Amino acid sequence: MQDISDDVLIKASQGDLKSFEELYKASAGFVYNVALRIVNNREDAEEVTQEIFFIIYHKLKGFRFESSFKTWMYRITVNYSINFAKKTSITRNKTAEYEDTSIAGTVVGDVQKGIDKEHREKVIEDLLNIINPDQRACIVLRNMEGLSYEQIAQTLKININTVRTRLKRAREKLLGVRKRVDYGQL
Amino acid sequence: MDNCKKYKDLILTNYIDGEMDTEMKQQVDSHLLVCPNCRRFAEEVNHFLVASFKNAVRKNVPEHLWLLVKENIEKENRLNEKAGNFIHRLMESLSFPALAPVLGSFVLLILVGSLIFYNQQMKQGKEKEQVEYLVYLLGATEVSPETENNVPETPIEKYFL
Repeated sequence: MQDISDDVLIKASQGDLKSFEELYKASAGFVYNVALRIVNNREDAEEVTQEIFFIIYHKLKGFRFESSFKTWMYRITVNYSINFAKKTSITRNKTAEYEDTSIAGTVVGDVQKGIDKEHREKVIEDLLNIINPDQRACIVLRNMEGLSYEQIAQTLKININTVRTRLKRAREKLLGVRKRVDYGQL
Repeated sequence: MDNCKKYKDLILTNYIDGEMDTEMKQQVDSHLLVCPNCRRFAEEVNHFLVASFKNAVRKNVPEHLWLLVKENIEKENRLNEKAGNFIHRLMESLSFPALAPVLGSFVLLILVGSLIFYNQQMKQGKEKEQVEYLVYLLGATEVSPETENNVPETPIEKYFL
């Protein structure tokens, strides 16, 4: 996420739409990509991104400038996306089993053979579908956004050990898919 | 074997995420040099769990999104403005300068009304009292029919009766 000057933040917090547009341009990439990976669906990600910026526009009026704007924005983005993903998880779970088996055969092949980007994207999407939204958020923030354990803990307002546990369980689950493929169980 | 379990847990988290102090990292590295099983595990984790996510393409934000965000904000601002205007107008119409003549007339009307009502009540009360008093006076001087009929008052009456 690009740096946003205090001046822009202050003006945006006073309702100045031009400044808010600047804020949007600097942070929309992060918000959209995190939302996309957590809700794991393009249409939902667009809806979530809109909602997040609407929330930010309103909450910015009460933002305390002593705390980090980035962390604050990360928190709103991740929490809203997790909640959205949890709400839609019932329908997701129905398709997860199918996708679990459908990707299993392709994971090894894709990573090893280096098939085209689009296909690899589909694999990532399917892999993320295997883990729950909380674990997904940790994987996205760590592996895709490059946040440290401490930053993830601050963003999600959880303990560092919880971050570690979520990452470990998510990765074990993902490795489980790979192992099942290796041993020809699928 | 127990040792490997411990190292695998570390590889799966702190080691691949670079969240480890130098001393601990050296310990894991030393173990990997002597343990092919854990070395294979570390390679697999790195390849499958780290590289694949790291190389994921960052998507461009759809351009129409800002227009939708802006539209929502402007729509809400317009609604707030309308609501604000209505409240403002309401407050203005209720504000003191405009309200003064209305309130003044209302208070005057109530005062006059209550004065008239009070006078009428007083008048009615006095009249009633006067009537009662007259009745009382008349009652005191009035001769009862019995006395009037049976008791002779004048000498003629006395004579005849």
